[in-house]
Amino acid sequence: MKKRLKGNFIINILGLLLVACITVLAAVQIGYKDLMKDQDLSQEAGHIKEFRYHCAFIAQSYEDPFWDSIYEGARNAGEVQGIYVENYGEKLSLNYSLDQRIEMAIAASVDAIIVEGDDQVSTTELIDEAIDQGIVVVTVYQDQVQSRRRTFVGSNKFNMGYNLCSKAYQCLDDDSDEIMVLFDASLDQNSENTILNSGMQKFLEERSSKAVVNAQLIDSSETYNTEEQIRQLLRNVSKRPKVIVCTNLIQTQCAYQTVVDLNCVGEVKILGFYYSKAILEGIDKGVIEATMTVDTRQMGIEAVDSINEYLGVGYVSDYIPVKSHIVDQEEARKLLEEMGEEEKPGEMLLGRAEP
Amino acid sequence: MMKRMKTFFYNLNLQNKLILIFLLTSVISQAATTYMNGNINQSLASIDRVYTSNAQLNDLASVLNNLQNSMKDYLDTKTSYSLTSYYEYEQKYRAHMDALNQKILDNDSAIMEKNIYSISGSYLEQTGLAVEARRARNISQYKVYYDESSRLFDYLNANIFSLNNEQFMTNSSNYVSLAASLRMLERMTGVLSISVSVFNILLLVLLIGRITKPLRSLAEKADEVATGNFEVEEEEVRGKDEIGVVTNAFNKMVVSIRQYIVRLTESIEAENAANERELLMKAHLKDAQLKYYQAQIHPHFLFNTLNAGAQMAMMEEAEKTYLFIQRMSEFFRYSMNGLDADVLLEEELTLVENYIYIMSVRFSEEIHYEQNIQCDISDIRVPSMILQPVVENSIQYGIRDIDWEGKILLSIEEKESCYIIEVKDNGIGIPKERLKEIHDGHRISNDREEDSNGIGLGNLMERLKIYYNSENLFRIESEGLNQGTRVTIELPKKEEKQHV
Repeated sequence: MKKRLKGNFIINILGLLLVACITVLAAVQIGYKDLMKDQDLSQEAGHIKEFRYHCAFIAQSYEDPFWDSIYEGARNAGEVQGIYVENYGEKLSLNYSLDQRIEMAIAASVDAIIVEGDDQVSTTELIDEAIDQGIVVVTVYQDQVQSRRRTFVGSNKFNMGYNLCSKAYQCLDDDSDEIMVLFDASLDQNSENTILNSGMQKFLEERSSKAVVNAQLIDSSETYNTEEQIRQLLRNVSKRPKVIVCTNLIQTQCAYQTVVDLNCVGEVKILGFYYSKAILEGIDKGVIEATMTVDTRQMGIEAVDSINEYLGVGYVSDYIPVKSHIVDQEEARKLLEEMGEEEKPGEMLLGRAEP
Repeated sequence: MMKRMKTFFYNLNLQNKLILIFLLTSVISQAATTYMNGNINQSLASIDRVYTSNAQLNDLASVLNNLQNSMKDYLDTKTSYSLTSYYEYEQKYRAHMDALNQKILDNDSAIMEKNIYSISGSYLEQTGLAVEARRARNISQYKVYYDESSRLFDYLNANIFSLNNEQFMTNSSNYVSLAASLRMLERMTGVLSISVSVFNILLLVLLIGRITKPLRSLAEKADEVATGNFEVEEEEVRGKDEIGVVTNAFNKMVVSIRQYIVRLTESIEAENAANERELLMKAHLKDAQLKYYQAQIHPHFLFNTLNAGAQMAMMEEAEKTYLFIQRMSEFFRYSMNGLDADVLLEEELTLVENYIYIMSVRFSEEIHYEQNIQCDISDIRVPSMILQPVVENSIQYGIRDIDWEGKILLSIEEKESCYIIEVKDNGIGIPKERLKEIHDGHRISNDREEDSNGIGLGNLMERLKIYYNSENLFRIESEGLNQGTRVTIELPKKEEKQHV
C-alpha cells in the first residue's frame, strides 16, 4: 500500500511539474509575443490602419493649445473619413516657417493641406501652387483671401470684434476711453484683423462713443517677445490702458501674468482670446474680465469634412462658419468644474466652446 | 492506447527498456533546450534587427549626400566621371527609396517614410532636370533646378534626420525591452532547465522503479524460499523480458519443490506405515503362533494328566519319576503365563532350574549349571521368559555337541543403576558374522526347533527394549570358535526404569 502511494505521489509530482513547465513556456511565449508587438510598427505595416488620403495640417505653432485643439478635431474627423491628418513638421528636428512647411507638403504630394492664412504674398503663391498640383487647400481661423484656396473655416471676425468691443466698452469708466487691442505683427496686413477692428469700430459707432480703439502690434516672431512687449505696455503707469483686448492665447496668458506681476489687478481689465485652465482661473478670480472663444474642435472637424466633400464631389462651400462667444465668470466656473473632472496631471486643458 | 503502450514497454527486453527510458529523458531535455535556445536566438535576432531601420536611414542619408555632391560636382565640372557617379548614386538612392513605406498608415514613422519617399521623388525629378539642363548648357535653367533640388535636399535631410531620431528613440526603447526580455528568457531558461531536470529524474525514478520492482519482489520471495518457506505466493509475471523469464522459472521451481516435498512426505509416510504393518504382522504372527501352540495343548488337561502321572509315580515309589513330572508341570505352567506379564526374577531363576533338570533327564547327562547371586533379588520384577531362552541357547548351541565338560554359569550382580545378569558357557562359541545377525534381530533358524520354546533372542531383545524403554540391554559376546559365549542382560533399576 505504502509503495503504491509512493508511486502515485511521484506521478502526481510529475504531473505538477509538467503543468508548471507548460505554464512557464506559455508565459514566456505570450510575454515574448506581447513584447514583440510593441516594436516599431513600421516593421509590421500590414497590421496598421491604412487611410485613403493624406492631409497636412500646418499650424503657426506646435505648442499652442488653440491649434492643438483644432488639430485634434481634424484628426478625429479624419480617422472616421479615411483621411490621415498629419501635424506637418511637428516631428522635424528643426523649426520651419509656415511657407517652408507648405513647400514640403507640396513636395510630399499630400492630398490636402489645412493651413492658417497670413495674407502673405508668398503664402498665397504657395497655396496656388498646391492647388495647381491638385492639392486641396483649406484655410482655418485666418483666411488667405487672395489665394485660390477651396474653402475657409472660421468665425466671423466682424462679429467677434463687435462682441469684444461690447464687453470692453462695459469695462470703461468715466476716466477711461481707450481700448487697447493687441494684434499679431506678423498678421499686420491680414484682412482678418482689419475685419475684427471694423467690428469694434462699428460697435463704438453705434454707441456714438468717444472711446477709441488703440491697435498695438505685437511681434511674436522671436521667443519671449510677446511677454516683453506687453510688459512694456503696462509698465508705464501713466500710459497704462484701462482695457486691453488680446487677439490670441499667448497674448492673453502674457497679459494675465503681467497684470499680476505689476500688481495692477482691477486697474487693467483684460479681455482675452481663447482659454486655458489658467485663464479660466483668472476669469474666476476677476483678474481677466472675459475671454472670446471659438469652437476649435469644430473648426478642425469642419475643415476635414470640407476636404472630404471636395475630394468626393469636386465642390465645397467657400466659407464654413464656426461659432464664437464670450466666456464670462459664471461660465468660466462651470468650465473649471468640467475641467476638474477631466484633468490629467501635467496636461494643459484646452478651451472648448459651447455650441 | 495507454494499455498498448504499457504492454509494448513491458514486453521489451531489459536493455531496450533502459535505452528507451534514457532516450526519452534525453529527448525531453533536448527539446526543452532547443526550444529555449530557439527563443533566445529569436530574441537576439530581434535585437540585431532593432537598429536595422536606423542603419538603413543612415545609408539613405549617405547615398543622398553622395547624390547631391555628385550632381553639384557635375554641374560644376561637367565631367563624365561625375555624371556616371551621379547616375550610380541615383540608382542606389532609388533602390533605397523603394524600401521606404509608400502607404498612408496610421503611424508617425510610416508617414514620415512616405513623406521622404514623395519628397525624394520630387528631388530626383529636380536633379534630373538640373543635370539635363546642364548637359544642354542651359545655365539659367539648371541653376533654378539646382536651387529647387537643393531646397528639397535640405528638406529631405531634415526629414531623414528627424525620422532617424524618432526611430532611434523607438528602437532604443525596443532594445531596452528586448534586452529585458532576453534577461527574462535567460531566467526562464534556468527555471525550465531545472524543472526539466527534476522532471527527468522523477521520470527515471518512476520508470526504472517499475523495472526493478518485480526484481526486488522476486528477490524477497527467493529469500523467503531460502529460509525454508515454500508457501510463498506466486510472483506476478509482468512482461516477457529477462525478469519475466526468471520470474516464470522461479514460480515453476517453487511449485515443483512443493510438489516434491508432498510426494516425499507421502512416500515416507507410506514406508513408515508399511514398516508398522510389518511389525504388527510379526507380533500378531507370534501371538497367533503362541495361541496356536497353546491351543494345541489344553492346559487343564495337561496339568491333570501330569498330576495323575506324578501320583502314580509316588504310589510306585518312583521318586525320580515323581520329581521329573513335578518339575515338568511347573515348567509348563510357568510357560503358559504368556509373554506380556512381568514376573519376579526369582521365578525366572526357578524356571531355569526346572529347565536344566528336564534337559538333564532328557539327555541323560548332567548339565553343569551354577548360579552366583550377589545381591538381593527378592523384589526385582522382570519380563517373563528372559533367562530361560538364554540358557536354552547355551545348552542347544553352546555345550550340547562339545567333547569337553560343558558348564553354564548364571550370575547376578547389582550395579549402581542396574542389575547385571550374566549367562556364561564354555561351549563352541559364536562366530562374529552370526553374532551380528543375532544383534540385528535375525531369528536363529536351526534344525532343533522341536527342542526350543519358540522364543528367539530377537524377540527377547525387543521385549527388553519395550519393557525398559531402553536400547542395548542385551549383549552376546564370544571370543570365537570353542571359546564359549557370554550373554549379558542389563536390567535398569526401578527409578530409571521406564518400562511400558
